[in-house]
Amino acid sequence: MALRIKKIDEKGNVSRYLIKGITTPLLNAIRRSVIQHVPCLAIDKITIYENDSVMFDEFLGHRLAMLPVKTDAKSYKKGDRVKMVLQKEGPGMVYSKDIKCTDPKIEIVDKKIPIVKLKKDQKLKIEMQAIMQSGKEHSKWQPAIISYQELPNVYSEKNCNQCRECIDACPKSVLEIKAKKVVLKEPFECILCGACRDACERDALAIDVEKGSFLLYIEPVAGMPVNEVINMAIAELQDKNKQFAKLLQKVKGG
Amino acid sequence: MLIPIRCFSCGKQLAGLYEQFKQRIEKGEKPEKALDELGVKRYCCRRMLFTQADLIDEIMQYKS
Ligand SMILES: [Zn+2]
Repeated sequence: MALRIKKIDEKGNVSRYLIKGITTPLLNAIRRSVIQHVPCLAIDKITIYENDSVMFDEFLGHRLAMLPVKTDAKSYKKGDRVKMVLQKEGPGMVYSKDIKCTDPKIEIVDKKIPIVKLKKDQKLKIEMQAIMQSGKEHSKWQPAIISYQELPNVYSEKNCNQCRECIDACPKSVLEIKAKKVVLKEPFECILCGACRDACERDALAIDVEKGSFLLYIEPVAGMPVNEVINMAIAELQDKNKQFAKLLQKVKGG
Repeated sequence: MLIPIRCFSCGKQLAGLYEQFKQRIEKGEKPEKALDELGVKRYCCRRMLFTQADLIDEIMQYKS
């Protein structure tokens, strides 16, 4: 079966794709490549000059490390660093917008993230380094949240009497009756919860998946566009394959 | 003590939504509706915002 990909929708920064003609191992290899091998920026080395807040230095360091940094993958390669500074005096909440970066292209993805609260006269002075690294080291370097599921398929067997119990039981209201059969009206919205099957008194409902069809969800975290993340993941995968083939040749030869 | 930056389970950045969420709840809006409209879909992320207890103001009293 030929590979086909269709974009279903994009809500906020969550994109959904329908992929047909792919296998779980291949799709999962791409997913894992995104998670493990595609690099992005995250704060890693910090120097705390002043921290009068109630938060311990370690606690604060952890919060800073978790901040999603908008990554420019074209000018930053794995291992590259960029300096950031956070300086603030209380009273008030310290937000991610208070972090200043030496490179104007690099910033924290969300400006409204509360970092710590300061009382009057309390001071904060921190110097940070964001490093380009891959998710294999730590999940803070994961460029996107990515998951997939097989495309659901719900259908009724012969002994269905169209009682509509299953339709009322569906929490997502995605079922309907068409030509005396229960069918899945919106297969992309079905969450495979099984409430329809449980509601059926005649055991007439079957829940199945369409083989080789998958729903892919991608939610970029580090401000990189979806196609860039996927392309980089596939390039990494190809690179790994080439290395493997080369090593295999050596084994054969020796 | 303060809203965690990311969801513990999936890693979605949520702290930036917290103040909006809190304002809406204080206005009497249902948490369910507020979370849906903020685009927080997975239940791992929903519990992060939904179960947050802000304690930093109380803890701050113990540091001069
Ligand atoms: Zn989550």
